[in-house]
Amino acid sequence: MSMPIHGAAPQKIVLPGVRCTLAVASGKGGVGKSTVAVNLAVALRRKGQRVGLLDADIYGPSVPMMLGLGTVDPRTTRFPLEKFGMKVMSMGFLVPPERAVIWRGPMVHKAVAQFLSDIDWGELDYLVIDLPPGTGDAQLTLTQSAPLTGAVIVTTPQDVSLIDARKGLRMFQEVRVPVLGIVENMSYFVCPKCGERSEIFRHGGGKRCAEEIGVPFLGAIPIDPAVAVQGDLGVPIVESHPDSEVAKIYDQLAERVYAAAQEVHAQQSPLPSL
Amino acid sequence: MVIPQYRPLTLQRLGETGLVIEWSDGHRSEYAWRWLREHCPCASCREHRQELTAPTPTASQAGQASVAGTKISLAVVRAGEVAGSPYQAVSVTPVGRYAYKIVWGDGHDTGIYSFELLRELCQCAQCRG
Repeated sequence: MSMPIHGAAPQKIVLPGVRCTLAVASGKGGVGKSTVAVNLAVALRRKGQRVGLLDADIYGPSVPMMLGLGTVDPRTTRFPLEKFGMKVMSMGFLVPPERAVIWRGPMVHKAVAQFLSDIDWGELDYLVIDLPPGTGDAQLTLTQSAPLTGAVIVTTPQDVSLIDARKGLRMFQEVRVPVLGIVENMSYFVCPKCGERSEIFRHGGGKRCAEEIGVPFLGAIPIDPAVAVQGDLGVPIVESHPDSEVAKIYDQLAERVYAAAQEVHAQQSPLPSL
Repeated sequence: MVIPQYRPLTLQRLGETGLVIEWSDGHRSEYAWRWLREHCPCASCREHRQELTAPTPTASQAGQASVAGTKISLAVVRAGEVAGSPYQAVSVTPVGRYAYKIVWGDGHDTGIYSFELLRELCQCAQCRG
């Protein structure tokens, strides 16, 4: 018998107007998951899709900064917020960056469940969910409460990240969420002066991992200082420099994710109930 | 892409006493409600079963904990539990894409039955061997 996953979540119909719900996940922190989620969301919007972005990282929300948004007064603000033509929700809108959220798991569950069910996301083609690293409360709530279309796993090329990426993959398999594929972030660096390509954190680990497990490899994203600069400036690179090399790679990633999500979505139908 | 091999296609009540699930791989599972309740996978039911099957259990130890050397009962009966039946399902609803939650007549609703567990618990003639 597989190890039981504990904790009942109240099942109600969440996200009725959302066609595809995508989780962007990683086993380990610091792999650039939020950067990938934000740029993937913008790239999907640029393809003409109606996109929402849910930052499910309750303890360390990064989406507000990456989109140039900050704390708002929840008494006078209607959620989700809108930015770059996308609907956005994050814990960072409620808690100022200098304050820490010090919560036990059940509170994280409650916050994520509320973001999913109490916020009017309206009609969307894609809701991209930026998950915190690991396989904890936010992930469990999401997989139990929302009808996820699929998950995209972000990793960096080194073994220490790949080990944890496999754990994330295993979690999604246990809860029967199709893994659309693996993205290798910080894959290589192209010197802006001489054009030489350096594989700083080794290369090809993401692809090998995908082949081993039998999921598609969705692409390799290079390290580009402009990506970090744009993140800190609050305008994702796909939005600010749509013709840059990195933006084109994100466009390809969005294309592949779109195709995989369409394929999975066509096969999924609601489960019966009594 | 990892697509699960089987998923439930239909759920039906088997009279008053049980449940039938038809799966996408053609299998037809049958369960008595009592059997499903007795195998509830929630943490408290599993702990209770472990206590009952411990090497040297005594009836007085089941559902008890020790506080400062004194055994106290942890069994708290809710109002609904007195009135309703623990062996009648009120509803069976999906949890994500991998499991079902059963709400029982006595209000118990914390068990999440994964598809794998439901297949393991199948009581059809073929599965019972």
